[in-house]
Amino acid sequence: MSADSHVADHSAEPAFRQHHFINAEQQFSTSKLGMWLLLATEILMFGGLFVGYGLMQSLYPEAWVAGHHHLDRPMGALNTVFLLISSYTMVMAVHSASTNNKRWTLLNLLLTLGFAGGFLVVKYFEYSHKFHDGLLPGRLFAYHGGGPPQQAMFFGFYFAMTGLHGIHVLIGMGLIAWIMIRASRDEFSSAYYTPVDLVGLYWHLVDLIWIYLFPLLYLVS
Amino acid sequence: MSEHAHTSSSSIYLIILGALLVLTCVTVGAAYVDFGSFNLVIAVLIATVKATLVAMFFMHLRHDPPINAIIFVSSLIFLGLFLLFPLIDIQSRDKVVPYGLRMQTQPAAQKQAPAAAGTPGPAAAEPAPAH
Repeated sequence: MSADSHVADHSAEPAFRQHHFINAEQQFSTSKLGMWLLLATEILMFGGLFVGYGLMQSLYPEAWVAGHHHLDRPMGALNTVFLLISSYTMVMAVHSASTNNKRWTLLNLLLTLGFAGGFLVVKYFEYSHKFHDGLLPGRLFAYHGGGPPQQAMFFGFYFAMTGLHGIHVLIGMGLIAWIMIRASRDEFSSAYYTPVDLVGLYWHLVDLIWIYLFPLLYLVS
Repeated sequence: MSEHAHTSSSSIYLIILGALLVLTCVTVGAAYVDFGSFNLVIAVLIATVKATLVAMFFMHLRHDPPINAIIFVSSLIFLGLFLLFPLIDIQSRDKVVPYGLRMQTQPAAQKQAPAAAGTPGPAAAEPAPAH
């Protein structure tokens, strides 16, 4: 172990440090780099949907305007607020974990989980309203209130984009619950809180995507 | 794990949250004003400002080694390329008939279009029915 004595900046023996890293600092930035690479692939996965949206919106702007009138702006805005606040509580959880504040870490993670749940509840009400009106994607479209027929395509994008995003919210909630269990077992400290930080990055990306989905779907006018 | 990233930054997060909520109000308000075709541009611009705030402060890109920001920004550049070339392509050819339009005019043709069902895109090549 004396060979690693140049690790002078942190606790004497970081048990969490894996042997193939020079020091804890390098291990942390490597994990972060890997997370950012994952986030880049996430952006490109959603990118396919955004590109499809952009192409079809440019061809049928009138269908997009007609389709978005069926979306509930206050509900969408409420969900935006939920996700923004949850991003704040998430970053506070990371901050608390990095300053050895276990109580605040757990509380902020719980709040994040609560706002994520609130987001899904609002989404549930929105979806059931769409189902009831027959505003469904593609050939399932059964709305008889008129408007351009390409609205079926708008709802295809609506359900694909918000659906994929909703799956990410669910995954994020699972990850936050996992982090809470680990935090309650005192696994994190100011020297090691990498999982909290990485789940935070993931959660912020979920927020980031919704920041674009909200105006693109709810506010086309 | 730089020290300054975690000592004085907890109050800046609240300021950023406030800015994000104000910008949300601005983008909702702007949607009720008619700027013609600029509405979408304005909405995307405001969203980009918000996304930049989230990435810089909540995702700590401000304090991270630059490689993380390079990965993030390059994924956005490639997304831009991905959007640009199909857009040039689709805007420089005759109007395509989307799946939804065919469905409405030919309800019997549902079974022969299983491939088009998954990808509501410019799959059809047949001429547009009078509508």
